[in-house]
Amino acid sequence: MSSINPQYHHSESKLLKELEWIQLAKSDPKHFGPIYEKYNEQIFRYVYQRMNNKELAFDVTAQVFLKALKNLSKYEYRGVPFGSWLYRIAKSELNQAFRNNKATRTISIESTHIASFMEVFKEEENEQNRKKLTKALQELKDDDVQLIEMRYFEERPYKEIGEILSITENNAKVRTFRALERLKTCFNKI
Amino acid sequence: MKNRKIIIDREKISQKEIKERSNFNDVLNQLEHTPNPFWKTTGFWGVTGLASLLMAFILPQTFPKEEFSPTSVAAETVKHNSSLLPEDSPCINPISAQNDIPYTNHIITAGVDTLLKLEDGSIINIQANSFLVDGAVTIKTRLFNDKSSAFLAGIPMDFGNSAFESAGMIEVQGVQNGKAIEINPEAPIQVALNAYKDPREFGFYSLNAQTGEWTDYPCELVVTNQSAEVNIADRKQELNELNKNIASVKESLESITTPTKEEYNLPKNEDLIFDLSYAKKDYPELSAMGDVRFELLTQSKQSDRLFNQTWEDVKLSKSNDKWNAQFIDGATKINVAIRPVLTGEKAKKAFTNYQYALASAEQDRELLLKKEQTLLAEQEQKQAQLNSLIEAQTNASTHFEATRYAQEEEDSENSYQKLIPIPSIKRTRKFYPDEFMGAVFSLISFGTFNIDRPVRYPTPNQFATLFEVADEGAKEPIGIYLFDLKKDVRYTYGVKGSLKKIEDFGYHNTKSVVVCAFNDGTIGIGNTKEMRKLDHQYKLLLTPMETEELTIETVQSFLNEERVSV
Repeated sequence: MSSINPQYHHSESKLLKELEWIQLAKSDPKHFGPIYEKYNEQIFRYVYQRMNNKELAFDVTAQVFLKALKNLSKYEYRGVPFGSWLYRIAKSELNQAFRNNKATRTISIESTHIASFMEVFKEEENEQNRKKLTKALQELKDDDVQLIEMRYFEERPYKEIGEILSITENNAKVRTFRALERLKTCFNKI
Repeated sequence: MKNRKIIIDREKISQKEIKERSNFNDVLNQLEHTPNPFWKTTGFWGVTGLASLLMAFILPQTFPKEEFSPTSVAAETVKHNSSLLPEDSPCINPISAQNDIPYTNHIITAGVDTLLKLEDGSIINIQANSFLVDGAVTIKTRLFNDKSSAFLAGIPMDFGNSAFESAGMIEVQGVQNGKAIEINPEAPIQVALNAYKDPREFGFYSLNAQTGEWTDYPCELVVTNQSAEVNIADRKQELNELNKNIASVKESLESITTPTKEEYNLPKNEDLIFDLSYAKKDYPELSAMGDVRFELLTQSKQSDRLFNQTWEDVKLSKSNDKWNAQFIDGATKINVAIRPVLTGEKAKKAFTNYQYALASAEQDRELLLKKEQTLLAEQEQKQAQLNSLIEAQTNASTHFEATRYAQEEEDSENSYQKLIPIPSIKRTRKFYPDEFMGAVFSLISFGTFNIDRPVRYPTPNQFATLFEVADEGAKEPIGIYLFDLKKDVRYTYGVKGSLKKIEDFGYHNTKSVVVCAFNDGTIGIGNTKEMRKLDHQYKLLLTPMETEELTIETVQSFLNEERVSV
């Protein structure tokens, strides 16, 4: 399974380079530019995947970086890419947008993903099962949807999921596995 | 239904559009114009701080805390101890009481640091204050290092829509006078559970004996291998040998001498050759060479003069094995270094020998250079292998932390600053050997713990399965155990605690052993390779057995399992 985000995983030197930018940006926000350029597309796609409004997705993305800059003094390097912190801010901003009724929580799914699920569930790919799957996705808890999205729609490696959610890679695997089980249970109940 | 919209095959947004819409300067401008919220002002904190201090002073006066008393904690612990014996766990149901896996009882004294070493190499480290009781305590252990033992003990292995493949499992109980005791949470017992498979691809779980559910449990998966040390030492030795070989080859290369024309008395420069008369009896070594000519050793303006002028006499002489010619013309005498060179047939023969020697030297050099290249490549490879081994050894202890299943708090404006705490594993000292493969974990309550990973249940058979017991005919099982020998997993259908019913029965492959339990207390054993697919039905012939015949040896034999030894 190829990653949507081949740029996410960093070598030691890349991490240190990022840290350098962050340290400079803490004293002068203008130095945040390279980080903005690096992560802007990734964060936008993450946000847009979960929103029904393109313009709002651009606004929320800008808010993510604004928030990051405002709170950069509180950022602590933990040996993972800076992007994982940005993703957590993005999640927070998304939730805020949903709470303010500015946007609807959206799950963007492709036909190829539907086919993969049918294969996993050992079901035929037909219109009826497609509807069952969409209904099952709507029934799932937010946490489970998030895991399913990150793993199966965005094809993120477990390591990345773990870093974004601040859990271990193994825990990400276990939780994703359970989310998939619950999706299948919902699917079968419909 | 939650308020979510599902969009299928949404229009993609190009990288170009995203780039065009991104503007870092806008973000910077917004940052400059954003005021600080009121709660970040000094005035706010001044007032708030004062109010907090007042509350901190007033509240304890109004609501005094209860005194903490260790004896009351102990009493509480005793009160919770019911008469329920550890063996009475409702979800652990051995198939045959007489063939249940027995406990090993270790009688120890509470209040003393104790290290228990189990038969498979697992170790239990009990601290002096691990128990809140005094006197003799019995630690009861059971190890389940194969499917046979877990099956006979009736350990449930289901995990959602999957069953566990195990790499090592242990049950630990503590009793005193027949009653279960509890562990002091301030001084947990540490266990190093030996794994019989590399645990790094597995998870770690504890069994809720009431519900039969497995849940994540924090542990450290450790793989430190003595043989890794040996491998590294071997590699270093190999590298040393290789380095010596390379040095030897280099030495050989340096020692190869390219033959010279001088060695073969062959002319180097025809322009410097001349004839010279001499008394052959005076120089017998020249006579041996046959007809010789002479060659100036160096070419210079002087040598040009020598050849362009007529000389009265040219005298040959030899001193210290060096030949010399003196060119005389009146008072002018010029001495030059010369050497004799062969002519005629002897020259031809010498030339052939020279060419042969030259070719040999070139060939030797080429071979040695190739050998050097090969050795250098091998050296690079072995060095890389050694580096990997050293790195692997350094990283050998894989740190696996499974959290208790924590729910994320509701996201607030600053929620991204909060991290879900992962409980750290408290360890007092390293109590397991350097060479160890397994899970190290802390016990704060007794139970069953497993290194395993879930493997999906097979799809149910398309049609119902007819089980036929030899000499008895068709029989309806009340429980089915499917041992997938390829996946090393046990699936259960219709068995107490299993989520799967008899009609869900299916199998992944033809390398599975089927054990059916019947109402009359008998069992039937079959193999999926003998499954017959008939019209709208599957059929499997079973060999009958009495349940009491299911000893560990019998089960191990039909599951092709040997007791795992360390």
